[in-house]
Amino acid sequence: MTVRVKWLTASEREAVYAQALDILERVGMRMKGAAVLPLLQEAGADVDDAGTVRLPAELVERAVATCPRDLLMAGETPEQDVVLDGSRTFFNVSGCGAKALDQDTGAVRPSTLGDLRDGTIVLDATPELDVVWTFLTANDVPLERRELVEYYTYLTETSKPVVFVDCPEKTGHVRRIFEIVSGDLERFRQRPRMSLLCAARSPLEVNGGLLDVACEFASLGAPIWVYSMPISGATAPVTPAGTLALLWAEVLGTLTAIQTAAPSSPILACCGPGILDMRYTTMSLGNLESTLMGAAAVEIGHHLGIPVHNSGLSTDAKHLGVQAGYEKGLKVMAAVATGADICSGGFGFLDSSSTFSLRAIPVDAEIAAMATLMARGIEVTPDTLLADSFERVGIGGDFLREKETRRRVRAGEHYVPRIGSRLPFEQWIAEGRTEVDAADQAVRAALDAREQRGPHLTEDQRRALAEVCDVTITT
Amino acid sequence: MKDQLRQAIIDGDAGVATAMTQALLATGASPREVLDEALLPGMEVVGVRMREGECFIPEVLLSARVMQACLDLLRPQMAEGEGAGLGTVVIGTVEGDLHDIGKNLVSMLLQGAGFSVLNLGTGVTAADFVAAVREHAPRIVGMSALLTTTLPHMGETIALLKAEGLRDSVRVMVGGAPVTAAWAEEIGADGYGANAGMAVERAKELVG
Repeated sequence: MTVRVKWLTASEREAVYAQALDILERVGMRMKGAAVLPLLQEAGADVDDAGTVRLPAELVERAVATCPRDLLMAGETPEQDVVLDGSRTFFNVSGCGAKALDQDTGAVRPSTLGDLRDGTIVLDATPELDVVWTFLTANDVPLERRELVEYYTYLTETSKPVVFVDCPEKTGHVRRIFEIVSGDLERFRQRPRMSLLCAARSPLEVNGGLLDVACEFASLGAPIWVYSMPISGATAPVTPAGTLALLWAEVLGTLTAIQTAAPSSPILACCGPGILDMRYTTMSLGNLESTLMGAAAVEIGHHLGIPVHNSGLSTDAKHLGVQAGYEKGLKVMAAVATGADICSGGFGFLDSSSTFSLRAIPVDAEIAAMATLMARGIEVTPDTLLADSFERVGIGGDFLREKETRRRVRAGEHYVPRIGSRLPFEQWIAEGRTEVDAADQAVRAALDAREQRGPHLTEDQRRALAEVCDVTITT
Repeated sequence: MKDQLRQAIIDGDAGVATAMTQALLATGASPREVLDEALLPGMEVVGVRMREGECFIPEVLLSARVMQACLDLLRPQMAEGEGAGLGTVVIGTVEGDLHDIGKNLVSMLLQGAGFSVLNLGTGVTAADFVAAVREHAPRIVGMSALLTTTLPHMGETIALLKAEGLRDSVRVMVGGAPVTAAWAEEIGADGYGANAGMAVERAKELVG
């Protein structure tokens, strides 16, 4: 049995959804300057001079009905493909951060191209991580070159699907990038290697320019991650129910615009609700309310037939300590047990997904692996009940020497942690190795392996990409 | 009455606060006296409680609104420029960025702390900031950003202030999720706040 936790009754779910539709119909969503406004008006929306779009429920529901349930994000080869079909939870890294925790000094500093490159290499080597966002800013690269240099680095250091988090400025270059990595635009449409995040600004606004780019990419076949990140108590109502309603209004409003411009586009509903910590005025993502809201949002989206993302691995912790452990563990377990299609928030991120820490990647991988396995539940079959073993082992015997014990342990029946320790206390002390040391070892192994393997893509592709991105190839 | 006014600010009681303000003025207290001996000390207590985590931000904002209501009663009787309290702050979200909740929170707290705030909104260009400095002669310019791609506009604004010969006339503060103290120093800003409360404390230090 696959574990599935429910957080809302059917009537609660319907009430939130109805509120979201009511918000869109009565208050509307501002999409100022977006090229899709005339199309929305033709389709029945009320659009005013300020770019506020009031959407009738039937228009929204028509748009939702055209969203494909399954969504493909292609890797460099089919082995890295991610198909969101409801069968399991995938994981992506968070972003886009501008700060990194220096691994040697522990100081927070602006992130660099080196951080971005090392992070991508380690993420690429982490089997539990499925999708790479453009997760970090290379502050040391001049702004006029930065975007394309970053894209070059991501695409040559990972073979996994890539998601653009910030709106690309050079969309012409990006189309060319689609062609280079896929062969041509038709092949890109069949196997989209890149997606785009289209985030609303709460409450109830989406940048018209960003929406235009999202519609353009959607028309090329790129999946669009329609993102709402309301802050409960600040940019959303203070109650989780009210925040959920706002979140879904923003997702549905943006989704409707994109589907109106590019019908039947692959859309992922992204739910990243936070709260404003009312003592310190900081944005919090690792809190229990966000955990509840995120999980409940997944339920609502699945009922609508849309794949749903959740920022399930977020923590507010500033270092890899106790707080990071319990926040990430609780949050991701809630997300995975609800059946979130894909989770972000972690794989290197601390401090409410704003500070990147390389050594956090293997730790997040372990947490994600454990949550995924737990959500699979217990397999109960005649084969697993091992009925014939009881009489054979007998009263007072041991199962250590059973063939099935040997076979199944080797096949991974029990999860073997790579970061956590189960050594006897004295041996643990003697070894002098903490979870952080284990994480550092995994990071070093990944970086060393990259030196042996070399970059991704073919030489021709790298050369073509380097030309578009104005990068000098050094290796 | 000054103690009652101070307490009403702490409690966020607009009715008592405005009544006490009017009563004090009627008994001959000067607006400066009311501000310095009741309103600002009340907000100072609120600020301490906020820093120590004893007070939630909605409660702080209520006290700040009550303080503003009292200031509105004092201003007609204040000398020109005196109504600005600690001075004027011009604040905005930089060009290319729409996010403003943090900036708005800082604005509200600055007002509560006794600053006069001109909020330029979002998508404010370097030229807009410079024009506002020229027109309003603020003591502080505050810039906010959430998108990493818009951060460089902070440096552009500082550069433009220098080019226009205005840099020395104003202190510059920056803030927002991707901003770090190192970034603030790199671009030549005078101050940075990791959260709204710290931004207000730094602003008070800058105007000394």
